[in-house]
Formats: sequence, C-alpha cells, structure tokens
Amino acid sequence: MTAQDPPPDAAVLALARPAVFIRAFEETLLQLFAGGALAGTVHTCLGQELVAAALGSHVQVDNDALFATHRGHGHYLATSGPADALLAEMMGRQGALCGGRGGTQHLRRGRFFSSGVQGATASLATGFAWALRQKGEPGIAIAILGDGTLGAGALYEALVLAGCGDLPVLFFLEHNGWAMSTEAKRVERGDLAKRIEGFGISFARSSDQDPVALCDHLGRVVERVRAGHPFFQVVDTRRLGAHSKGDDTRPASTIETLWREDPLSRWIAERPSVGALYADARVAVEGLVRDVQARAPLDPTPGNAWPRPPGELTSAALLARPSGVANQFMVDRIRTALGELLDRDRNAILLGEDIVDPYGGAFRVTRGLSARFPDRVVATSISESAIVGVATGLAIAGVPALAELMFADFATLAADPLVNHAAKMHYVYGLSRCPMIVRLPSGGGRGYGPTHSQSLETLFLGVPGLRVVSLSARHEPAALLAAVLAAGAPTVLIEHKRVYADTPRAEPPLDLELHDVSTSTGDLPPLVYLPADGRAGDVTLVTHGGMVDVAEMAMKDLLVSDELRFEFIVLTQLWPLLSDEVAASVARTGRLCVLEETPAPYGVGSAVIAAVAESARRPFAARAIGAEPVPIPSVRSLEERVLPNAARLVQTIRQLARNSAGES
Amino acid sequence: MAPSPLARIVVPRAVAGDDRARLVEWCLADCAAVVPGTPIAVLSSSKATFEVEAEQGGFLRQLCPVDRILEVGDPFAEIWSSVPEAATIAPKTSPAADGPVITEKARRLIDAHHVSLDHFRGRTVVRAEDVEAILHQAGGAAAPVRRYAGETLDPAADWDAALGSEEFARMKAMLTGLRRRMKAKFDRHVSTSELLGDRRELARAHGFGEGSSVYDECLILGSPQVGKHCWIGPYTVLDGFHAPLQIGDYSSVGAGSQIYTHNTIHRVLTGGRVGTFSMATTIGVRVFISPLCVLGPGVQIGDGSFVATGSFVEGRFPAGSYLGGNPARRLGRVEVDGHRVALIPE
Repeated sequence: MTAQDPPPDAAVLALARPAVFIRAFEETLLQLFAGGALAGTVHTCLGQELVAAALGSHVQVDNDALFATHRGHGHYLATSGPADALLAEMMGRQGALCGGRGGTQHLRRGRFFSSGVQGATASLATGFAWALRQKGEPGIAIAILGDGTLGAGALYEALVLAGCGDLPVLFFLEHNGWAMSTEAKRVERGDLAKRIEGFGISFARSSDQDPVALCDHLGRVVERVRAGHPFFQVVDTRRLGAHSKGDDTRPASTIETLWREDPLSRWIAERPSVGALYADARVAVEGLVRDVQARAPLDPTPGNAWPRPPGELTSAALLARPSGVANQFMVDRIRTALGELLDRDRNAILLGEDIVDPYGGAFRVTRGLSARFPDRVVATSISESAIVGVATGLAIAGVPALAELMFADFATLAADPLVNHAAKMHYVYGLSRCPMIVRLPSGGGRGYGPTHSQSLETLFLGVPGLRVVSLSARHEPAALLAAVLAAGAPTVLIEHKRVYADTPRAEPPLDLELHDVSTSTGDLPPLVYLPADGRAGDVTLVTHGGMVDVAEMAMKDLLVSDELRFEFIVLTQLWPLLSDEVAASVARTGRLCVLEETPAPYGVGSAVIAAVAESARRPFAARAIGAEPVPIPSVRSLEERVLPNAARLVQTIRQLARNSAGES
Repeated sequence: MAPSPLARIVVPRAVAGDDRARLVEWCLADCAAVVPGTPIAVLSSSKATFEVEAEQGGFLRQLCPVDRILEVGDPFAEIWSSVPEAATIAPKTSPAADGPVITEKARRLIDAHHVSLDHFRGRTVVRAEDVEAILHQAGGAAAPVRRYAGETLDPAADWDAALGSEEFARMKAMLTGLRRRMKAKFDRHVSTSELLGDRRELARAHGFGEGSSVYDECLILGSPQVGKHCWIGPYTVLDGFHAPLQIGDYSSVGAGSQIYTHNTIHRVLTGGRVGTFSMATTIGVRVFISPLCVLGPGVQIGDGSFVATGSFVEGRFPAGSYLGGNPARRLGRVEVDGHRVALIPE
C-alpha cells in the first residue's frame, strides 16, 4: 500500500473505532483528574491508541492472556474491556473492575492483567504461556512492555526461560522513546534486534505510521506465536501526553513534532469518517462519566488479602508420620511430598536451578523426580526473578507451581515477583487461587557463610497476600504442601537446612502431648504441645522450623535439671501470624520465650510477643532469642557463637523461670 | 604393644557433601569377615545416601550403633586381622538405654531411698513428685534395691563366677608378678594402678619439670605448672583447671594434701545464683607442704616456706613462712643456713 493508494475505509475504521474511543476516554480522564474526580495517578496512552487497537484486533479474549503495563487502558479497552468498569475503578464507584483496589495501573478482567511494576510481567506471561501449553489449551500470552523496561534485568531472565522453553509468548514492546523523563537514546545502546535474537527469540521492529500495515504484520506475528514459538515485536510509536499527569518536562517543540507524527490525529483531521467516530466517542464518554458519577461510592471495607477457602484444617493432620524404613530423613519426606503433588496434579510444575538428575538439587531434595516427571521437573538458568515470575504465571493460569530457590539468600533476587505480583493476585486482581510455593532452603549451621546461611523469612513477613510457612521435622511435608496449595495463596516455604538432615519427629516431645488446633480460613495451624498430665506449664516456648531440635534439646535439659514444664508451640505459619494459641498458653504460664534464627529485635519473636501483649490480661515475662545481629560467619567456631544454641536457650529460660510473671 | 586394627574406617567428606552423616545401616554384622571392596555400611547425609566400602580385608568391628550422627572424619568401624581380636578389643559403644528420662531431683530421691526403677516402667519421664508418690505409697519404706549403672542387681546371682575365670587367673598372676617386682626392687607395696606405671613418666606426661614425680592416685585437674624436682605424693589433688596453679622447683606436696584453684561455696549456698569462685594459686620454690593439708583458691606461699600437717591454708604468705593450723596462721619463720634448717616461732 502506498500513500497514493489509501487503505480501504473498512480496515481504517476497524482500527480507528477503538482508537478514537481510547483517545476520547483518556482525554476525559485528564479532565476528570484536573477536576479532582480521580485520585492518585493516571497514565494515558495518547498517541499509542492505534498500536493497542492493532494488537487488540488479534487477541482472542477468552484464550489469550495479556500482561499490560501501567499505561494499560488502551490495551484493556482494545480487548473489549468494559469502559464503565474501568472508569468506576478509578473513580471508586460501584461496578469497579477491581473493587477500587487496583486503580489505573492494576487492572484485571479474565486473562487481562496490568501492573504498575515492569519487568517481571514478562516472566508472568512466560509462565502463563507454559501453563497453556501444559494444559493443552489454545491461546498465547502477551507481555506488553515499554522501552523503559529494556533496562530491567527481570525482562532478560524471562527471555532466557521463554527462549529455552520455546513457549508461545509474545513480547510486545511499545517504543515511545521516553521512559518517564528519560529519553530512550540516553539509556539504549547497541542493536536491539541482536540483543533479543541473542536469546534465540525472533525479533521484528515496526512503525505505527501505517496502522493498517502494522495490523496486518501483527496478525502474522500472532499467528507465529500461536504456532508455539516466542516472538519479540517492537513497535515505534510516541507518547503525546505526560508520563502520568502533569509531569511532562519534554521541550514543547518535541511534543509538537510528536503530535504532527501522530497517525490517529492525522486520521481524525483528514478522514471525515474517523472524525465523526471521534465526535461520537466523545459524546459516548461524556455519557459514561455521567453514568459512573451517579453510582454509589465503593464500600470502604478493606477486605481480606488472602483467599479464604472453605474447609477445616487441623494441626493433627499436619503432623509428621512415624518413620518408615525408606524415608529416614526429612529431605526424603520432602522429596516424597513433591512427587505426590506431581502425581496428583498432572499439570503441576516443579522448577528451579539444578534440580534435575543426576544432581537433583543443591540439597538433593528433588533427586529422582526428573526421571519420573521429565516434562514437569525443569531446571532453569540462574534466574531467580524469572523462576518466581514464571511460577506466578503458571499459578494464575491454574497450574500448581513448585519453585525451588537454591538458597533462601537468593530470594532477594526474586522479591519483586513475590511482593509486587504474586502477593497481589487475590486482593487486587480478584483471583481466588494462586497455587504456588517458593521453597527457600534457609538458615546456618553448615559453615556456608554470610550469603548462604541467612534466615530471611522476615523479609516477607508483613507483605499482605503472601503466606510464609515454616517446615519443621514435626511436620509431614506431604500434608503441609497439600494444605498450602489447597489454601490457594502464594506461599514462601521456609525449609531450614537443619531440617533436611533431621528425622521426622512423630512422637511428641518428652512429657508433652498434642493439643489439636484447627483453622477454617486457609491458615495453617501451629502445633501446640501441652503437658501430658494436663497441668499448666511453667514456660511457653515458641519456635519454628530448624530451631525445633534446639528447643527440644533445651526442654529436655531443663526438665532433667530444673523439672520445668513446658507448653511448646511450633509455628507452622509465620505470616499471617496466628497468635491465639500462644496467648492462651501465656495466660496459663505467665512466661514466654520465642526462639528463632533471625536476629531477635525484628523477628517473628517480636511479633509474637507484641501480639500476646496486646491480648494479655495480666503481666507476663518474655524473651526473644535469635542470632547475633551480624552476617553469619563462615568459620564454625564463629558461626556457633552467632547462631542461637541450646545452651543459650537453657540459660535464658532458667532466668525467665526464676522471674515471677511480670518481672524481667 | 597394644593390639591395633588393620584399618580404621572414617566418614568420608567427599561423598557426604556435608559435615555430618547418619549411620543408616550396617551391611555386615559385627565381627563378620570383610572382603576388600565390599560395602560395610550405608550412611546418609542431608545431601547423599552412600555406601562405605572396605579397602582392606579382615574382620569387622562396629564402633557405633545405627542412627548415630557422625561428623566427617569420625571413625565408625575398624578392620581387625582376626575374629578374637575384633571381638575382645574395646567395648562397643552401646546405644542409649531406652529407659525413662529421670530428673536430677528424682534421681537423688531414687538413690537415697533405693527405689526400684520397675515402678516407672512405661513412663517417659520421672520427676521428683513421681518418686515421692512411690515413697508415700510404700509408707516411706520401699524395698531396698541394689543397682549399678542403672541395672538392678540380684544379690542371689552367681557373682563369683568371674573369680573362677581364666582371665581372672591370668590377671591375678600378672599382678602378683608386678607386686613381687615392686617388693624385690623397691621394697614397697603400692596400689594396683601404681604397679602399671612410673611416677616420673606420669609427671613428664603432664609436663611437670625435670626430675619431678607424681603418684597415679593424684587427681590432676587441668594443667598445673609444676617445676623441677618436685614430689607430689599419693592421694593428692592438684587443681589447675579453674585457674592457673603453679608449684615452684623442689617443692613437695605431702600425701593426702589438696591444692585448689576453685570453690563452689557461694554457688551451693545461693542455690546457683552465684557462680563458681576461682582464683590462681601459687606455691613458691622449696616449699614443703606436709601431709593432709588443704590449700584454697588464691593461696600464695612464698619461697622456702613450711606448712605443718593438717593445715587449712587461705591467703598470702611471704617467703620463709612457717605456717600451721586451721585456719592456718603464720607461726614463725623458716631459716635455712647451708645444711641447717630452723623453724623459729614468733
């Protein structure tokens, strides 16, 4: 097609109709914002509407997943998202798309997602595409990117996994030349095509100057992805408006040039049919605003950050089963548990670094599983962000995802997909399930030093929507993992490395018996052990995970030397914190000691003590014991000094026991 | 020469991949014949389960029970050249007894009242109150039970069998031989343990100075610094464990004398609120400590002093002191003039 031979009106109008509506809608948003009717922020895609329309025309809304950016209104509207729900979302009115929780940049409808943090969405799309292939469902996943995202490492991790997995995911980069106030050419070097092709992913770069030709091209690209291969498409376009509201610092002359180059403005000016559509769209949007403004405001109840599946869970169901011959160690039980999960759900995926045979994972947890499930136990590159991002994508597509990070210390590299994406799936995006477990081999005691010995669970405590669970040798991994997946929230599973080498502890600790506790909200109940003779304990001792054996050694010593009676609580779930049983116990004992391997002042112990204090009716004495606040040293003698041990615990509890309640 | 095994088998680091491993099972019975290259035991670390093979043939001596957690480098088996050697050398480490956990308080009551452990069969824990309940039921007079190392002993059993054994006869003959030697060469009788060693060798082994000797019956705590040509008598106590203990050259510690660097008086009287008291004790050169003296922590006795029999010494005394009594006081001074020694009362 050439300039002398304009495209037929039908093709133009098919693209122009959604594009002018997007433009009218967003221009109105800016007016509403200026008038104070919208709170927070708003990012418009003025100038990029035809790109959204061209892509949207090839999206199968029921099959394809789309992960848009903060500048996502256009993609939402171009893939038949109802405009009133979006406007209500931003205005806080009834009928809001995400109940007012997402606002302008966190939208979800069906398989359409948008997010205010860029980079990891590429992994989410990759995971979703993997899930579709795994389930044999039609559809592809599309990750919308901006040129600013080319600076994000998470993108490249996703490209490694998508390329190696040859997955049906389209990376769709709208290059508008500006990352907020930074011009792209200041931060881009080299040949982008070569950069992307280096991942084994086909690449094309197009312009939106001829929208109809672009649309045709995108049709071919999408077909290629539907055939089962990743593709990276760049479309050069422009942003006419500010990054968000009135924060445009670009020179006026630059902006004028952009307006002159804007194909939609040209169509509106030069094609009466498009001009008419635009006029109609403005009227329609005015009506929309009146309709939404007339609606009642949203109920301001905060709601629940975690899904609350029906059904009761008892602590007895989570208890380690007596030792058999074959499963001597906890590491074997975890392996069995993962195998059972993969057996039970024929789509479930296990992914992580070095997890396939013959290596079988750094701690041999997954040894033998890749032989049984060759397609579903997958070793990845060293890409912690993508491992967790892909797991999130799998999970939101309904495929249970079991991700292993080689060391908990590496979770810092995967914090974004966990905190900014997975954790928001229920509350913000309204998904009832995001069945994923990120297993974190944690803790010291092996001389691995400052970056392979940390207990970093505290990083994730306090992130609403994430569940943090700690496995101990008193838990049966199969029961625990099944319960976690059934609860449906993205979960960080703390696996202390000491637990691997422990044997399952099925018998209650000396002199104690299980006091069964149940929950009915998807939360995982603690294991509560009370004196077998039914009398109150002298001290409430609370711990979790790898400190269970230390606690039990100390309890035995103190029983023999001081005849102390304990009420012993092994926390299963660290966050959200379940403190009722602890509070009930402290009401009986008047003394509370919490043992963990993180430095005490900001650990689980502080939270437990605070929670108990808030509900306590009488004074109690408390101690929190954790590691010394230094990085974990490598040399054994130093490490032993830094980590909590039974001798220190004995000493502390003895002191505590001498105090009557309330003294300290 | 003490018999030694042909090979000692340790936990290998390369395969364990970790610092510890658990002994999962023995592939061969204790004393079984071992062919080189056959697996002896299965071990499991957190990272790997692996078999350890014998490199040398012989007979297996298991050194620990199944389920024991071993450190890398720990020996857990030996290969001996013959079955009798394998079977008779070094008692095997026995697995922990499966009886109840008995608290210290309960243990004291059990011992004081000779309470039979049969009363607590099936229990996991025995506290003082449980023992008291038994005593109460029995009206304070539980049947006396004789026990040794946790085992109830039947007075009617044939305890004299050991005396009739061949080993006993051999051992007795050997000891008699050593006693005869002691009488013939040194004209004295000493305790059985003293027959087997040499006082000077023992002193050297503990790093005492040249020409010093110490009886086997001396309780040596820690590493006391004992000078040259000292004589440490039988039934003595040298406590160099809690704080440094120094004894100068040519000093002598008489039979039954005890030199301490610690006491637990405050710890006991406060029920543990105060810790053990410890302080360095220093005995100068040429100090004569007579038999049956007790020197407390922190004592300093200057050179050339004399401590009379039966003294209990605390405090510091200058050189040339003549001490005695309980508590010991300075009774006078010691004057040495060439070969002449005088104790001069003050």
